[in-house]
Amino acid sequence: MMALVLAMVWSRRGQALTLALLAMVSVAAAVAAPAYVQAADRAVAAGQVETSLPRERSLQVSKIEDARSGEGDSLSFTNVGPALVAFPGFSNVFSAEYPTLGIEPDVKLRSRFVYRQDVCSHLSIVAGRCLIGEGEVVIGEQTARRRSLAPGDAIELTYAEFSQDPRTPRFEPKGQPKRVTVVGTYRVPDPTAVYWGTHGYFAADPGPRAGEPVFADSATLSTMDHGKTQLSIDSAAGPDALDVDKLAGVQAALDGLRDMTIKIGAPILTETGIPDLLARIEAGRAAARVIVPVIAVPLVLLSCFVIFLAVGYGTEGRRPELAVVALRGARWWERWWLATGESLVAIVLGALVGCLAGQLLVNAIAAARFPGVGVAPAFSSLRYAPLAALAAVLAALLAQRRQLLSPVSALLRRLPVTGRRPPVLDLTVALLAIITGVQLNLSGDPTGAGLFAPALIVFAFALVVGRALLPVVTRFAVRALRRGRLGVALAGLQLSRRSGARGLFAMLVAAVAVAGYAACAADVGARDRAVQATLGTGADRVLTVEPGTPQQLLTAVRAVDPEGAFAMAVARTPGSGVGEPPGLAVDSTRLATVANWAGGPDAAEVARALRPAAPEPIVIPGRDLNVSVTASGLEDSPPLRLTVTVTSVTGLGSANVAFGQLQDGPYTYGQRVPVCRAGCRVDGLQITVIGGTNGVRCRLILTGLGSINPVRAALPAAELADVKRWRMPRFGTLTAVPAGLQVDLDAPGGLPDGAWIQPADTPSPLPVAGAGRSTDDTITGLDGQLVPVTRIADLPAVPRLGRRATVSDLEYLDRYATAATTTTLPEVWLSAAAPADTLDRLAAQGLVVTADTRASVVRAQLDEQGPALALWFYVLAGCLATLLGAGALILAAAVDRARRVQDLSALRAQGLNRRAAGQATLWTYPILAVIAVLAGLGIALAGWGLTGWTLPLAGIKPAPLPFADWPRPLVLAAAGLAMLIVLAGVALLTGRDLRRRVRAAGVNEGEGR
Amino acid sequence: MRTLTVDAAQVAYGDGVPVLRDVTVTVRPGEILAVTGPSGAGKTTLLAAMAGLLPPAAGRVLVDGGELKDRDQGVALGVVLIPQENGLAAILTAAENIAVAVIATGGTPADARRGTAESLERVGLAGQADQLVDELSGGQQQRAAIARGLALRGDVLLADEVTSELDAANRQKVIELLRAEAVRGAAVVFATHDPEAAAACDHELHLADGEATLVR
Repeated sequence: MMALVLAMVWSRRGQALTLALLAMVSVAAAVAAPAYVQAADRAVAAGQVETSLPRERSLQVSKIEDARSGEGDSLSFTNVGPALVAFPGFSNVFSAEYPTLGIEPDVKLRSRFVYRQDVCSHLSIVAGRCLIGEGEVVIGEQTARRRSLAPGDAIELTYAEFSQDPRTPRFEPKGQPKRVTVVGTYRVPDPTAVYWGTHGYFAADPGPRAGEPVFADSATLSTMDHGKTQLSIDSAAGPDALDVDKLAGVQAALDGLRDMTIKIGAPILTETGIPDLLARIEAGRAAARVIVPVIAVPLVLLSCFVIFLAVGYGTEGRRPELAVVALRGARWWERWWLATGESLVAIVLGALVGCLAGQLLVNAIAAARFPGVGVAPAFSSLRYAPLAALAAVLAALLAQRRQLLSPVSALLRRLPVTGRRPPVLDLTVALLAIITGVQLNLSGDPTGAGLFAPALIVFAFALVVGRALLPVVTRFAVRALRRGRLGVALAGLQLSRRSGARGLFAMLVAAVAVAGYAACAADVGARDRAVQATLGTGADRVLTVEPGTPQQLLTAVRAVDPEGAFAMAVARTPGSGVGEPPGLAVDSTRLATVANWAGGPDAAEVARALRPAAPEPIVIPGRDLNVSVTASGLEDSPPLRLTVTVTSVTGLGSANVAFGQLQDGPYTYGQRVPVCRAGCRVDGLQITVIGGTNGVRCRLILTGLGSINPVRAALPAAELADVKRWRMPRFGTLTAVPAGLQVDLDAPGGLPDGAWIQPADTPSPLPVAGAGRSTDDTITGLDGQLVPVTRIADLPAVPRLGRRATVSDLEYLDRYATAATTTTLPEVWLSAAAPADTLDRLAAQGLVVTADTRASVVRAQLDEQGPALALWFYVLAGCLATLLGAGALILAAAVDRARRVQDLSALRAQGLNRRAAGQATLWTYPILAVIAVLAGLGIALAGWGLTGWTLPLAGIKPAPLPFADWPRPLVLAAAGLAMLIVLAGVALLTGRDLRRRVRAAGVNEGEGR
Repeated sequence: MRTLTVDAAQVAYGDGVPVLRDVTVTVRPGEILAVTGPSGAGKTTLLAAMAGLLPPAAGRVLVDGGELKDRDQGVALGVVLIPQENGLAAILTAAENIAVAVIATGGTPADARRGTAESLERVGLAGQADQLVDELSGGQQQRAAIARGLALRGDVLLADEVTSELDAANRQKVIELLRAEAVRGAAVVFATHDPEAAAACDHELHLADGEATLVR
């Protein structure tokens, strides 16, 4: 019996080969998906390690030990530390440090006295030499210049501790001085090198000074009389330590370190970004694991559908043969085996080859797309292969169901039994699509039953469209015939009336829909990454700087870019109100040129609206601040204090100038304010109660405000008295009087936070633009006080912060603040037009950059993340789906060929001319391809609209950015065109082949002889 | 109307042995020529040569004195062929098969509609006009092919064994239809096994062993 089946396979080897190839594709798709996930796992890890920050490739374990208390004797860090930090492939650097006095003259400033293993090989000695023995130190070149020290100089260092008394904020010597010799001065070639760990040795020190520790050897630190010492081990990953195969070991070592430190119970501190890196890798992998199977399922289904059609065509041709087998009374299993054996043998052989082909396909893609990462083939890739093979077998059996179950009489009929059959397959698929679609909609997670929803929805639509298209094409062709257009009519009728036309239609439409769905995902994913990189970063480049006052930040950035062409100062509003969205405060004069904008209202218009014209701030022209106030009625109130808050207009900082108790009658208060030496802006005048909570009721007249040396008023007298120039939100009223500005204080409940009189140098309410719904009419200002706001524009998203946030003008917000504050998350945003030396220019303005984020780097990182890598599988799936469609076309053309040659030859004999016959042969399948591409793309969009939102294309936990919902029409059109070119190209080739055969057959092929 | 002449024709497939040798016969407008002979005698081959499907290896086929070179020319000259195997396209209905042929031979869509309805009526297939060919019985298919031949209203009508699958009544009806075509002025050639049918024709050409003999 087996020999007979093999003989049948051989006699119809073309069909068997086709079936084997289709089974191969099906199983290959099922093998490729998990294999690709494994390859992507490795690629995600490799990509994230490659783009990680130094802190994510190292860890620091530290402990503070006090040698004087004997703490170091038991469980000494020197002994325990190396045992804790035993990460394979990591190199450890031991260090110790404590603060000392002796170099800086100001006792508020200490020098970090540091031993660091192998430090000399990481320093560039500018003068003298590096360390050799005990009692030697090397100091930074800027320190040496500032303190006029040179190699050979002796200095005396003393261990110091910071005073615990808040009244004396300074370092105090707490040990015996030690005399050491400066043997060299150094410069650091690469302060950001992994070797230096995360100690911030070279970050700006208070003073401000450049961060320059005093380096010495271990013996020097040990022998100096000292107390608490910070001991640490910096462990940095070597070149191969974070190889994808070793990440599990690193995670295990991290877990071991955590357990060990808990067991030891000593206060050992671990600082590392490795968990962040591992979490990012895991998040990327998790996204890839979710995304890849979503397209693998329809690909396998598509393969099974093609198998179903192929077997159906083949079996239909074998009906007389099967009838003869049945007629001869073969036993049921023999009949079954003879009917199905041929298909099963081909499918099994194809499935076996598919296991290998799937892995090889992934290997090839991985080699091209992730060079150097490798794929680590594993048998686990084959776990879905049996299921795919089983699905292929079931598809084949389903296609043969009629031939297996029909009585002999039915098999002997020349024509199959016609008539309407209930659309069981269509209804089943539609029902499953609804069930899984609802499940997916409820869970929002394309796993479990939801995993099958996109595939089933696409196939359900394809089956419906396939069913609906046939009558349309028939009507079209019949109408063409009635109009005498024979070529088109014959092409259309050939399509709609061929045996199995509906299945072929549905299959082609489904193939295009699967490829279209893949194209949708790939394009939306790319757009999401672009949004994350551009809008999520905020600008082309974002520099995080050390906190200062808003005015310092604004002044520095404007000094670097006076024209507003490429740099913008940015800070965050505290956003501490209940339900208050996060807020961005920007120098809106350059918002349009620097920020990456999300669309919606024009950035320049929004910027103009954020910064309407406002009175100029009141500026004290010199450092000696002078305030004249005439007070009356103070006897009825507790003692009151006058404070003026000012901010340097040149970025020197801010100050609260306390003038002490308000005096009855006219009085001029004066004080020297260093930050005002080049002029400063008045932020506000504050009246507070000195002790007590009694009510306040008195009258003050501000008669003068300015500076002496130079003697100049901040405002002319008339303007000083102008109530429009001032604002007093609470606790009193303002009146213009001939002597000046009259303030009638009336606070029966006292002044817990003081009464503020502020210059009206901003619009009020303050304009803000916002994304997301908000009915709030206030935001939290920079000083933590509520600021009344009015929304001047609704944005789709605020750069960096996303779909629920506000943006306001930093300078106005700063002016609105009553108290001098430090900025929250100060940043400098740069556009692509920023010159290469911008960082140097910012440094020259006193800004210390602590982080540097580029949109291009973020994009590169995202391109190596799980979703992006997973979408390459979609590209592969799209190509395979298109090829399956093309294969189905070829198969259909091959099956139809003999009958079509006969029909067309017969029609030629009846007068059909060459042109019409040529049209009928050439146009048939291209028409089908055009219809399939149009319908398939429509279904792809419908399927995408219903299910695409569940794909984590922007990561498992994406930022709240306005991600794309739909692919770009042009991209989808290009994908459709590519599919059309392939399908129509194949169709044309089959048509040309048919035309050649019709010509070769001659016009009498259809005649008897 | 045109006269069909076969002049000393020798007919063969490719370079093979000639199926027919030195056949000479003329069919004039209004006449029916019966072509008889045993199976394999070359009746279909002779009609294929007359239709322009098979160029003679020697001799000529003439239509009104002009040499017929191929089937396209035959169609242009109004030489209509009703093939033995019907020559119907399976993807078309009976009516569409006729309409395609009418339009392909220069008729207008209106001509096609009119001719289709009339001819199907004449062969008794008006009720099967919209059935696909595969849904018709063998006899119905044969009558559909005859209807197509009638609808084309050719000057020369070649009917190859067109009564082989018909019952006696329909056979008689078809012979009458052929006669009607002759009366219309067409030169009709009718290949048949049936002596009675042959007897109803004006002339008879008997084929045997590659030779053609004009019996009457």
